[in-house]
Amino acid sequence: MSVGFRAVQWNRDKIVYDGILIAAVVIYIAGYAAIHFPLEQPKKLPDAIDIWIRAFGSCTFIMLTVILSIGPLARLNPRFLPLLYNRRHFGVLTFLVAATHFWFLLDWYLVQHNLINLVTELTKWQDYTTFMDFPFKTIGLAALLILFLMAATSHDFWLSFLTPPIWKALHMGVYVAYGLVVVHVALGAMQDDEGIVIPLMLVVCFGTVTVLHVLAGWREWTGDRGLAADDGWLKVGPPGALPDKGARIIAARGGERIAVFRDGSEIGALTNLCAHQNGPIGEGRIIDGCVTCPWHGYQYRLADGCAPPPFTEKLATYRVRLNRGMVEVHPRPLPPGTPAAIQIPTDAL
Amino acid sequence: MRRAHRSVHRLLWPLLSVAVLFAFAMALYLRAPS
Repeated sequence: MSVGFRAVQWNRDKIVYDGILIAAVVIYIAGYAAIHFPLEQPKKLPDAIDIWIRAFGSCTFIMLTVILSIGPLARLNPRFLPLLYNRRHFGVLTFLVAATHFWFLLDWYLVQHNLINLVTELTKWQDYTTFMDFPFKTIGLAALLILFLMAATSHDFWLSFLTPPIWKALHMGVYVAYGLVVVHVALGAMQDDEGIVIPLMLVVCFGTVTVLHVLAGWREWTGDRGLAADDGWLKVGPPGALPDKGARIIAARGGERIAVFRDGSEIGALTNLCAHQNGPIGEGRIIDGCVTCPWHGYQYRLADGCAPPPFTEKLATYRVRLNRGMVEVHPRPLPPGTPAAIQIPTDAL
Repeated sequence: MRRAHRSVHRLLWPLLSVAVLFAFAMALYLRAPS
């Protein structure tokens, strides 16, 4: 919820989430350095910087893997929803770690006074026509640019300015960034290191993320097939089949999903798209008399889809009726904020 | 997510994974021997 645009709304949960994230990054980087410095005993400064490059690079890859696993995990099991809550901060921190990886790369050239070599590497145009000699640093830079764009537009101001559908489409660029990072590592670090660790890490991480996304996508597809409208109305089921303070999600063929909530004897249908980030409203619950989005806790009244004052968001509602003991919903959305919920007799439950 | 996003998502992942896995397999196959 928000009154127009508000600055960052910090709360205890966000602070704890960020604290755990930062601690995990610090522990990983410190652990990597603690293992690799004694093992490799770098004698020159560039060799020491190289360890930091690998520490921050591998940390970025692991963070991206975790970030990309959160979405499908939350779709497959609601127990992972708390991880989704502050995922944007996770993304911004990942960009900062990736930018540090890039900074150490620049430093590696700078301490040897040969930054021009990097420029030469990146502008060796004939290498762009080969596969194995393709400048892998360019691929990494492309991924870093995507992460930068996402971090720069991660704030709610941009979400509001671009609108949730465009913002969401832009932020799907993280998938491309992840693919670029895998190829960056395969053509870069994996070529220098002859061991099995890097190929294994790439296969396990990318494979896990892919399998999770395909599984979640399959499950979502079954929910998108939709119901056939009987005389223009979609059958939801008897009122008692709707969980109290919860919802059943339905979809008309070819249409967006509809969340049909029951709060005691009140039944209402809202679009399943939260006004904040298009989160799945129907997977939320009614808390303090309001339908509450499971992603970030945005709230709406069941009666008319409006956020309670002083908040201003509104959701599209749908007409609902009780016909021969069955709850039915008309698939055409009403203008956001239109009262449409009904009261049913208690003996109908 | 909107229906359109879910459709793009379902299309993008298989394409991305095939492209990335192909590039990875090539990079591994052509890696200089030790």
